Amino acid sequence: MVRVYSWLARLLLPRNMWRDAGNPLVHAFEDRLRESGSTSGRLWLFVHEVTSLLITAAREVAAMPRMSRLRWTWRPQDDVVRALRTAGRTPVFTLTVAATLLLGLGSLAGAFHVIDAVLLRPLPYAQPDELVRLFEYNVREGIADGRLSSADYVEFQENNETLTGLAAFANSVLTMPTDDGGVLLQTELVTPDYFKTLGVPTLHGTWFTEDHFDGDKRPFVVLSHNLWQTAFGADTTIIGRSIPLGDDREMREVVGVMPASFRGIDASPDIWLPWGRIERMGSEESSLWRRMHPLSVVARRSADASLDDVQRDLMLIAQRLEQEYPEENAGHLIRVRSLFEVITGNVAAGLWLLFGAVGLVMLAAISNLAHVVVARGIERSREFAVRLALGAGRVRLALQLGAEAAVIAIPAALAAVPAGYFLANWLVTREAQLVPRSVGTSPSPATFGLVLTCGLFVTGVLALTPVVRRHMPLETSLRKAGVAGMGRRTHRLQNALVAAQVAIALILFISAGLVTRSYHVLNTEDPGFDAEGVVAAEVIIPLSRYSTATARRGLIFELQEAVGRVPGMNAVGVTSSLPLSTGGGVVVYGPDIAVTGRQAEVMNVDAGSFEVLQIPLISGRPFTSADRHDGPRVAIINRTFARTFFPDISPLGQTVTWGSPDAAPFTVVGVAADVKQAGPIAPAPPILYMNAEQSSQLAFYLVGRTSLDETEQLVLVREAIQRVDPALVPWQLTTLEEAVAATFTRQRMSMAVIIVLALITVTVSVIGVYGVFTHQLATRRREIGLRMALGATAHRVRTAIVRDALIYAGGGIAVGLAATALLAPFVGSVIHGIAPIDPWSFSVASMVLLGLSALAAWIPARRSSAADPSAVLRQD
Amino acid sequence: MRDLLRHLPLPPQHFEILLSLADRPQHGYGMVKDIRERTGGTVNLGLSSLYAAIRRLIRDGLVEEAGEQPRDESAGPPRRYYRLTADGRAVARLEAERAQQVARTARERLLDRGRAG
Repeated sequence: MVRVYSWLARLLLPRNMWRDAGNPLVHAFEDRLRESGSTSGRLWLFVHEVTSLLITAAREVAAMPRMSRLRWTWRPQDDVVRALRTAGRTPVFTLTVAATLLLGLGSLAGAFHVIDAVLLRPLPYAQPDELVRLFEYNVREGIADGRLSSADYVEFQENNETLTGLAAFANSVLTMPTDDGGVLLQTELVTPDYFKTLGVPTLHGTWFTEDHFDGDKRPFVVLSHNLWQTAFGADTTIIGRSIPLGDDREMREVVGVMPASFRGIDASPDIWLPWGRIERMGSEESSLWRRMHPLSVVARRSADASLDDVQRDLMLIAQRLEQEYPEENAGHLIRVRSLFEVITGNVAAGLWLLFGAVGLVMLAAISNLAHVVVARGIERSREFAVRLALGAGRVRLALQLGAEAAVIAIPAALAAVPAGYFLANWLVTREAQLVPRSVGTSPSPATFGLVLTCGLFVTGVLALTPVVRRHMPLETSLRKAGVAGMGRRTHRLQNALVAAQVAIALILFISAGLVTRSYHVLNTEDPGFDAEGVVAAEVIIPLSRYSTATARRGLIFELQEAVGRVPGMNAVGVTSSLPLSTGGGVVVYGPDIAVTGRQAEVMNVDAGSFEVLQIPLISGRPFTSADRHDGPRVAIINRTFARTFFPDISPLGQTVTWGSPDAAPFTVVGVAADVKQAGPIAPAPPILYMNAEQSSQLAFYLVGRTSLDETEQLVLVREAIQRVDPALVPWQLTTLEEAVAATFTRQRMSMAVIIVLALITVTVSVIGVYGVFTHQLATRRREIGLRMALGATAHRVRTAIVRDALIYAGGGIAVGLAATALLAPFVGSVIHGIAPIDPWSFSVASMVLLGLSALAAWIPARRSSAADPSAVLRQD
Repeated sequence: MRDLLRHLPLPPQHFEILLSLADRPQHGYGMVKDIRERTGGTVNLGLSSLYAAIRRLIRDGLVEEAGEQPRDESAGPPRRYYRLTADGRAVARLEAERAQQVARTARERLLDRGRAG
């Protein structure tokens, strides 16, 4: 307390009063403090004395003659005005600092905005920590996150001891008729407990009550905020009205509207519909009831049960079911995961890596600013020395410098938040699949807080860097100022900054190189198909109007005919999924397969689709018109399927089936080349192509290869489809190239972001190196002039300077290489196809940075070595 | 005498300081304690106000430094003592008379009128 009091007194009281009475004042305070016994008494005394100090100081200042008051009084607004003037006088300096800060803080704000929204904010449900997802862990088939059967659901619901709520849902699609045909709505079918389990209040109206689940029709619907706004103009009177939905235009009563923050669980649904209750079945349906696995399940654990408790609890039930129903349940275990982890797990690592990269950008920006400020402090050291000599206090100087820094940093920080926010939101809304949650409609207070804190921290650094340097006596600083004002220490500090910046830039540069190379590798790997000139339309057949397999086959045939008649269309086919877009799989069975329990993708295709996608057959024959729906069942497999299941024998003529050993078998008639079916990164999975003609499918893609402009063809394809059935709405109408590009979105975006960050950092560091050398050489003019007067050639001077730069940059590169190698495991998690320690990226990035550093030093070196030595020496 | 009148009226705090120096020299903290005891705690000077006032009193020639003396009871740096000058004593006496005058007037006007009313 005494020290604080003494410090405050020295700070606040006028200089001469401190000189006259400072010591006795502090001693008396000490005495007084000693005699006031209790802690609270001391505290009270301290407050009393500090208040008195403030009042006295104010009075003393008011009593001063005007001139001496001017020298002492601190009025913040004066400092701000003076700082603004200083900023205006040196626009280049001001703009450089402001732009650097805006870049650094803006990236920080953008990255943190997304991280805050996705990873830090709680999920928009009541007590979101208690929510868990239940997945079936199918040990036999190696499916870790499968759906549950209704039978198991009932068992878990009735027998668990750790859950307070359990609800099932399933995602589907439904058409909503509009003036130009209709739109497809993402639909979530839910059980009665869904809402109670999640605990989210409706925005308008109510959630489904138990009554809504009665009967077979259940003509009720709850709207998402988005659909309510876009399709119904945010009309609050919609509650209680009925709207037509589905192909049969069944009228459904709107009972509620959900808030904007609520996006369901999995797929951002547009509407929610009441699904049936899940109850015990009669014995004859029981086996099917156990074999079908349609349920996605969300549950709420009771507050006193941990995730592990729930896992143990449900696992006991699952193991009991395994024994009771060995035929259906053997190998079916249960996995409990927190809902938060399920939703954010995919992106968490990437987002934190992004945040790390942005942090590096900030570091580079701050070290650059520190250097700029040191350099300017040296230029202004004469001014500071004079003001110190005239009686300005160190604190006083720091306050003024603080104001100078603050008038630049605070506006930059304030501008950075909206800039980062808009950039991040633009990216996220443009590429909706980038993040799994809504990022909100305004920057959060946390984002503001973080960025402003960083801004203030930078302000502090900028303000204090020149102040802590001022230790020289007046005469020295006056004599040295502006001539050779840089001590050895300053040189060392600046060189360390050069090394640090180069190191930071190298880390990001190498990361950018790795991500770019990884993207390039992914893109140039042969995917096994040719996307150019291919258009695709996803069609979902309304079961209500095409209830028989014959009717559906007829429709598919008609659609193919209609699309084939579109001018410029060279080939048409049907496939159940586009390349790069399937997941999961089924277990393959067969009398002669080499491995059991392994999975394969199953697709329904026709001969035309191989032609459209240009997937070559390696052996055997394609599907032909002779393979009729009532003829022998045939299949084509891909090369990986053949290698996996028939490594030693010819697959042609073998029989296989899937799902169950007793299912009707297919005869393999052909082997096709591999296609990257399971996404851009995963290798080609084993695929079993079944003949579309021989299978009954409800959803499929019509694909066509055209020689004309694909975008125009899309319109014609849509028209052709609706000529066949005006109520058919293509769910997805796209060129295959677009669809392929969409699967690369995450890779492409992370590449773009890291390249931008790397470019910013490299630019900032090169400017930093340039600035340091320009400044050092300006202060070494005399020395250089002397050397040249003594016979050094311009070439030798330049070489010496560039060598200096290479030494410090080289040090930075060594540090940067080591740091990047240490970070390799993290970077490795987001790249594919190349090793995280990639000699090519490491060496190219190092060479480029060394070259840029040398260039950044060479330019000022040339300037100072070109000066006339005698003129330089005369100046002093 | 005319000279000294310019110090009147004395600010109350200054008057209290002069009073506590009336019978003996004092150090700063001693004055604070003395004033607090005499006034029953109603005047509790902050140390910095005290020293600011002392500076002004020294400048006006009413108080002077009386040198430093080591403490008797405890270790620590020596304390600086202050005492009244002849002028200071005279001004304190003048202020006391003035205060008495004020008190008399107040009594006449406030109390008598109160009785009449």
